[in-house]
Parts: sequence; structure tokens; C-alpha cells
Amino acid sequence: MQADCFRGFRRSDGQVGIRNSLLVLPVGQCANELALRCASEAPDAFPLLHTQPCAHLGEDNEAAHRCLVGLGRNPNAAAVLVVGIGCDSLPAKGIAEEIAGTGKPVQWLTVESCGSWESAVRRGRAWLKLQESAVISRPREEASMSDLVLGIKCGGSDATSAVAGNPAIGEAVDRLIEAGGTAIFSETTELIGAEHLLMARAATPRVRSEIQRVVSRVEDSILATGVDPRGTQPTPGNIAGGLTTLEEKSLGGVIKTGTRSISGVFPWGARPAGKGLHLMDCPANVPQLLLGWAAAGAQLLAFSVGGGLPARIPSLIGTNVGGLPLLPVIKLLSNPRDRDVVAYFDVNASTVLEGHESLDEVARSLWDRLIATASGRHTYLEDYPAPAVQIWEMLVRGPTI
Amino acid sequence: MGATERKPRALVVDEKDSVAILLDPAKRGEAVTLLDGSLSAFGTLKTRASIEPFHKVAIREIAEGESVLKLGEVIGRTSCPIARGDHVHVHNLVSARLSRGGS
Repeated sequence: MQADCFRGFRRSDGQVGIRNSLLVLPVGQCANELALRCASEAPDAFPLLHTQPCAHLGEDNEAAHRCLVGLGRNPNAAAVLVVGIGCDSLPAKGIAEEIAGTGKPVQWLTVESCGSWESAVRRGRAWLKLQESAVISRPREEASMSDLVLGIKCGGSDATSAVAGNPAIGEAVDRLIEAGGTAIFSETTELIGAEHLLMARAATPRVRSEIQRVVSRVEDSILATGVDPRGTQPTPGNIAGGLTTLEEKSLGGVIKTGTRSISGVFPWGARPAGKGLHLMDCPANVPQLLLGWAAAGAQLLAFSVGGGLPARIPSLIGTNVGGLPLLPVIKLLSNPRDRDVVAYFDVNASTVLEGHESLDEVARSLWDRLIATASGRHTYLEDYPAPAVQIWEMLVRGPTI
Repeated sequence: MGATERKPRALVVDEKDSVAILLDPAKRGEAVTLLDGSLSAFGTLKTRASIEPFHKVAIREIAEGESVLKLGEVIGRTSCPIARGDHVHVHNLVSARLSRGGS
């Protein structure tokens, strides 16, 4: 039997993109408008706006720096324009140089280097125009499933997530890991109460203690506030859907990680060390998670939604858009009572609960959808007509001063 | 067979579980068909409350302070005694992890 494969864009560093994004990356929030203006005449350019201020300290600035470099190095970015003011907390030139190590076309400019705002906008637009035709005309070539890095997430979870969408993702993850690929789960808060199951699957004693360390850190930080987290974790939507406690939500959530051993734990903004199944340490907040996955090199995300009101949000839950063009999202529905909004989803896992399809059949549909998406087929959210832009969030652990 | 003629169903995911997941809405006093992980019926249960779909129903008596099992794992502990057929949710089940001290 021939091994599964997909058709992607091979970059000069060996990574394989599944989309050809022309990325405009501001290095701080003061440069968001500059990014928007540079991109405004290039329909295929994507200005990735975010919250990096000048008011963060050491570790948070380092993580944001790593994150921006990671976003630029993501294989779905075909070419990258890095823009700044010149007085930003992070260096446009340095970030551009680190991204350029991939061999992809990279340019940087600041208001300072161009002499004026108007000149920076002119130069940015001219560079994007040059890249646009080169980026779009590239052909796809055959790539192995081992070139795929898949983020996995659940949201709007209810009791159906644990018996439909999440186990379907778990089977697909097992299959991807067997094929030599990579999968990344996160949402450390939502591992509380299920960490023993993950620790038992750690590839090494070090990974085992890392899992325990990151889960204890978030649990201790919640307890230290003295605030009862009920009503926030689980969320009001989770509770309406029949989930009572955080550990119940966590136990359902980790089912999407499948059954294979866990190869590593890495911090938000960084990349996993090698292939296999990895944990990215990040809270369960979509605008931060998506930046983290894209910076980690993920090319696509599988997102399992339970049902109820969260399933009725047509955009990507937790945002006002369809997601990041750098990270196409495949959405799965679990709750059969929400089948009237199944058009918002790419895979309908709720058939499992109706007895219409087996879990294996749904997992196979998801696998086929992964391959089709990786080969260029748009997901529902990729074509979502967002009414506004999204400001993505940097992860902040220290003080804002 | 129409949905109205069918008994509400409740899924017991793991044989260790003390609760089942309602797949259909159930009225108070209604008989519910219990299904195992492969959706095969293995018993019935009378509910003691009206329960929304995908919420939990106790499939056995659970003492106050006892752990509640779902998906084969501990999802919290009871804050009062629970009878077979009771709705199990925030009014009688609490996290064993994030309620410091607690009951």
C-alpha cells in the first residue's frame, strides 16, 4: 500500500508549506498601522497585528521575539516583510535576519531607516508588489506526512466532545505520529486533573517531570489568587453543556492527544525539539494559542467543538475572524443537537452519537480532510468573511510596567 | 420508530464509571436506556430529576465526599449524597483539585 502524502510548497530549508502567505510582521503594536498600510495595496498580503508593547520586561520580550521569528519561519509564510518604527522594544532588523536563515525572501524597514512614515509605506508596498507574483505562481510538490505539524485544540466543549470529536482527533494524531509527523497540544490549564495520564506516556523521565512542572505552575497560580475558578474553568458554556468540573473537562480534552508517547514540552513562542507529540505550555486563550502554534511551525490546526452556543459562532471561537492565514483550521462538530449549524464545520463527528458512523469512520474522514487541506483545499474558516481584523495576543507572564 | 416513542438514552463510557451521559432529554421519573461504549443497551434506570441532554445521571448511589468517575477517571467529589437516577452537576459535584480545603 502506498504511503499517504500531500502536495505542498517545499521551502529552501526543507520545511513544507501548505499555504503561500505573504506575511507582513510588525515588531510592536505601534507598527500595526504601518503593517496595515503597507499591505493595503497587495490583496494577498497578510498584516499580522499583535499586542507587543514597549511595557514588558526581559522574559516576555524574549518570548515575543522568539514568537515573531517563529511566525516568519513558519513554512506557510512564503515571504516576510518585517516592519517597525525604529524605537520598538524588539529589533526589526534582527528579527528579519533570523527569519532570513530559512532562505525565504525577507525584507525589513522602519520609519527610522526610511526617513519618514510615508517613505516606509511606499517602500513596503513596492516590496510586497514584487513578491506577490513570485509567491503565487509557485507549484506544489509531493510531500510526506512526516512534513506535517498539526496543532490540536478543543473549545466550546461539552460532554459530546469527549466521545466524538476528541477521540476522532486522537486517532488522527496517532496515525500522524506513526507516519513520522508532529502534533502539538497545549492549553496547560485544561490538563489539570488529567496530567497523570499524560505523565504515564512521557517518553523520558525529564518529559514526565516537565509535564508535572507546567501543570503544577498553572494550578498553583490559580490557587494563589484565592479566587474560585468555577465559572471560568469550566466556562459557563461548558457548564451549560453538562461539564461540571475542570478535571472532567481536562479528561475529555486529553483524549484528542491520542495514545502515543509524548516526546517533549516546550514554552510558548518556541519550537518543538524534533518530531512526534509535544506539549506547548500556554493558557487556554485562543489569540495567544494560535500565535504559539504558528510560531512553533504548525501548518494547520484541528479544532474540536462540542455544541451549544459556542457551536453557533461561525468565526473561529475566541476571535472575530476565521483564524490566521498562516494556520488553516479544520473545525469538527460533536453535538448532534447542533446539526443545523453543521455548515460551519469541516468534519461532522456528531454522527458517532447517532450511531450513523463509527468513530473509525469519522477519524478517517478527518484524516482525508487533513490531507486535502494540506494539499490546498480551503477550510470553512479560511473563506470566512471577517468583518474586522484581529489583534493577536502575545503571552504575558511578567508585569506590564 | 419516532423519536417520541424512543426511551431517552444514556451512555456509560467506561465500566468503572458512576455516572452516564444523557444522549436525549429525560423527564423526572422517566425510564432511561443505558448504553455501553459501543452503544449497546445493557439496562435501564429511572431518573429522579428532569435532565438536559449531555448532562450526567448517577447510575449508582454515591456517598457524600466520594469520588465520581466518568471516562474511567475521577472528575471530582460529591458535595452531598447522590442517589441512583439523580442529576449530577454543579449542585452536588465539586472539583477535587481547585477547591482549596473545601468539603
